[in-house]
Amino acid sequence: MKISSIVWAIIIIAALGLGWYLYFSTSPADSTPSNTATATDNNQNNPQNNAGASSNTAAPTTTTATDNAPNNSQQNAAVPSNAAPMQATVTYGPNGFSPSTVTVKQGGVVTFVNQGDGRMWVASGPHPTHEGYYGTTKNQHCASGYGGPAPFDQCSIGATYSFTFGKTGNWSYHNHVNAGDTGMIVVVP
Amino acid sequence: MNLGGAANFLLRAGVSFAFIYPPIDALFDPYSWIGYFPKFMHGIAPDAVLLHTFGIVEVVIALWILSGKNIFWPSVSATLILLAIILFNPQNFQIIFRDVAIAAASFSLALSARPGPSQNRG
Repeated sequence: MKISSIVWAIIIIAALGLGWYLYFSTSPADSTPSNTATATDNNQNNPQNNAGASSNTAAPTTTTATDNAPNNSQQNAAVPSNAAPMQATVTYGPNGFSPSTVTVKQGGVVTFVNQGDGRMWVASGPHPTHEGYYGTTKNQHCASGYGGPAPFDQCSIGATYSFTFGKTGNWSYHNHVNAGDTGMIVVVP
Repeated sequence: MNLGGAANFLLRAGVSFAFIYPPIDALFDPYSWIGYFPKFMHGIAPDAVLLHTFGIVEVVIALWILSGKNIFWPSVSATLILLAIILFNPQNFQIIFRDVAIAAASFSLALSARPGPSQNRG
């Protein structure tokens, strides 16, 4: 009797916990971004507009952030498509990525900058396979000799990382070495 | 043929595999595994030390459960570890939902091997 009661109690608690999680873990993509970046808006043609990334190599694309948005202010409303910036900067620190949700136009560049002591490896969700953006897994697109589209995957630890988003959609990402730190890139036409 | 014994072995083998594979794969792809540690654990020790120390614990639990000898406490430990992984990684639930099933299996093993005069099949 006792064991079955314990098991049922655990099942009920687990079900309640799962329900709580599912109820409160609505995807940022499904709701209005509450922490949306409005970085610099320059509608100039981006030379990396079509490739979806700065190169087609699988080498780690850690870059030096040089021409980033001067300041990422935040707003509490969705960014209209025509107002979405072409560049945005996301900082990484002890509290994770900030802003956690960024909206850019298609072809826009998002630069991730590690300003904390922790290590940063930005990668498309889900952890640990990273196939969310192009469908290729980390072991495929981070392998030497990979010749497909450049992945939304830093593929190594680095202080900065830039990626050009050539595909519209809501792209979740995380820090591969601290998978609890997540964020979302919203790419609009 | 003792189907009950075979079923128990398969259950133990399944849970053991779930604890053997991560520390082995962590030797080749450590960052994929260190990411599951909660943030407060990063910095306690170098990530590699933390990861592989935990890996040793996992291997001990796995082999102990596989042995079938007095597996109540390793099974309880396995259950708690899995529940902790689930608890600290809700954002990865699409991947770690399987841990719920494995935790249930290890808890089942714990129940089957619980110490006591009436039942001790460990």
